[in-house]
Amino acid sequence: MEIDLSLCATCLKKPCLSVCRSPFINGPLAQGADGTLFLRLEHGEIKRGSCCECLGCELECRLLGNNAVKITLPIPYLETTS
Amino acid sequence: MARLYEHQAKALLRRSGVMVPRGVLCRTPAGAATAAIEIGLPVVVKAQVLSGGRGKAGGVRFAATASEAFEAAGALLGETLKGLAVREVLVEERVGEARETYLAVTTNQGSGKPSVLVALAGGMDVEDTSAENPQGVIRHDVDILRGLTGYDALNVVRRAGAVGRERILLASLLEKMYRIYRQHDCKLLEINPAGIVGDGVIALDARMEVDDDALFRQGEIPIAPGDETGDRPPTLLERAAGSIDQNDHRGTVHFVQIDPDGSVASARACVPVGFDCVGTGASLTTMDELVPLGYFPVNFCDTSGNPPGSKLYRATRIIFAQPHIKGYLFVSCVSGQQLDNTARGIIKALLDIYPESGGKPDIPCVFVFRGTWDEEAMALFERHGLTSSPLVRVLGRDCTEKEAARHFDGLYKEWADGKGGRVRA
Repeated sequence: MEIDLSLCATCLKKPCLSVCRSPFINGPLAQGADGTLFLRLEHGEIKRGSCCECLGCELECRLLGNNAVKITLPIPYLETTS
Repeated sequence: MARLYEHQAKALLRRSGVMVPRGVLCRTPAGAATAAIEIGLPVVVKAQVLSGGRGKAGGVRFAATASEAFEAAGALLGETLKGLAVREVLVEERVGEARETYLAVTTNQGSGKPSVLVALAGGMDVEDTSAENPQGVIRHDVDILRGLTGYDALNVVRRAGAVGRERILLASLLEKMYRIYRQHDCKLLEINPAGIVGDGVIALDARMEVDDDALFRQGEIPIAPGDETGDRPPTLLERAAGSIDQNDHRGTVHFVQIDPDGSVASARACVPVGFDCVGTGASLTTMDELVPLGYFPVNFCDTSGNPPGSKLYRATRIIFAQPHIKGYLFVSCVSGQQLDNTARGIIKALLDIYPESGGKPDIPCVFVFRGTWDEEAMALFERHGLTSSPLVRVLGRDCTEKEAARHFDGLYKEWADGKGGRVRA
């Protein structure tokens, strides 16, 4: 996942934060006091499932934000067939 | 289910202390001739395909000289045996006279327990002989917590009629087979025939099937993940789909190509369509409604158990990677999974597949969401502008499988008549 923080700076709604849901009360995506987005949890925790991979952050950012979130999901073998 | 080739199963058996014939895997007739000399004549040349009945189909040939091994390999390699391409042959030492027996460890579907089977009359015709004499096949269900003890194994082979040294040899092999079966998460481990020779008992042929959901912890099993594809090796798309659940057991993706090249749909004069369902029952029901209308699902796909959006993204990309599909249908059963996440995965896939049109597909697509968060799922399609496409129809919880198929039929006919969107080349 990549977030272009320069685009986030001018985003007022931050729809990614609204949609971020996980087994935790607060999702892994959080906002600092200066408004900058950051990941609240360690990468290991996120990889183990605290991010439920709903894709909500990317899609809501596309609709209501500045299209700053890009999630890349590689698919082994698929590139071989295309 | 991941099935091993004979040479793979034998390599694993050998490492586990089971006697197997000396053998070399060959890909050319010249290689087979060289292997025959290295091993020592006479040899057996065996086609390596994932199918039983190779002997009766001519896939097992004896060779007394290197040139005969060359000819036998040449006759097998590159040909088709039982519908499967022969790419490799196993050249093995030919074991002398041996009493052929049958041993297997499998799962008793009725009791839900591992089950060992022994028959003293093994070999190619074991199914016929066991049908004629069912009392000759001894089955023993194993308490998985207790395991198969030495005296259990002795008792089973005794009941099969083995006596003396033969009883001890077969019991020892049966114990080893059970250990291998458990250690490698097998669904089936079969040695037929197990030949009793002077040195002991040797596995003359072996069939091993592993639970493919356990492949993640079976590093030494040389199989790429993929769903059960019967007697043929998995296609690349099936391998791609098989990788989705690796190390991630949140929900499941089961994908199999029913018609990888569209030839079946073409032969039936049907329209090939891509297909995904939440729930195998709904999947089969919907397929039963589609086929009489003239549409042939070229793949089976079940994305259920509440998979994350990322899995739906990958599954949808794989389905749409089938170049011959002329439509797509997604139907959920009345599901307890988060259908909004399901929808997000599909939407992201469409956005990536059709970037120029903002995710709007160029083939008719019907999506049916029924269950938890179904209204949110439908709303997501609308918010992303996909429902404004004349080629997209999104339906909700009031839609039955029959209606879903009829909606697709109507949409497809509009498209085919040129009334709804661009015609796909």
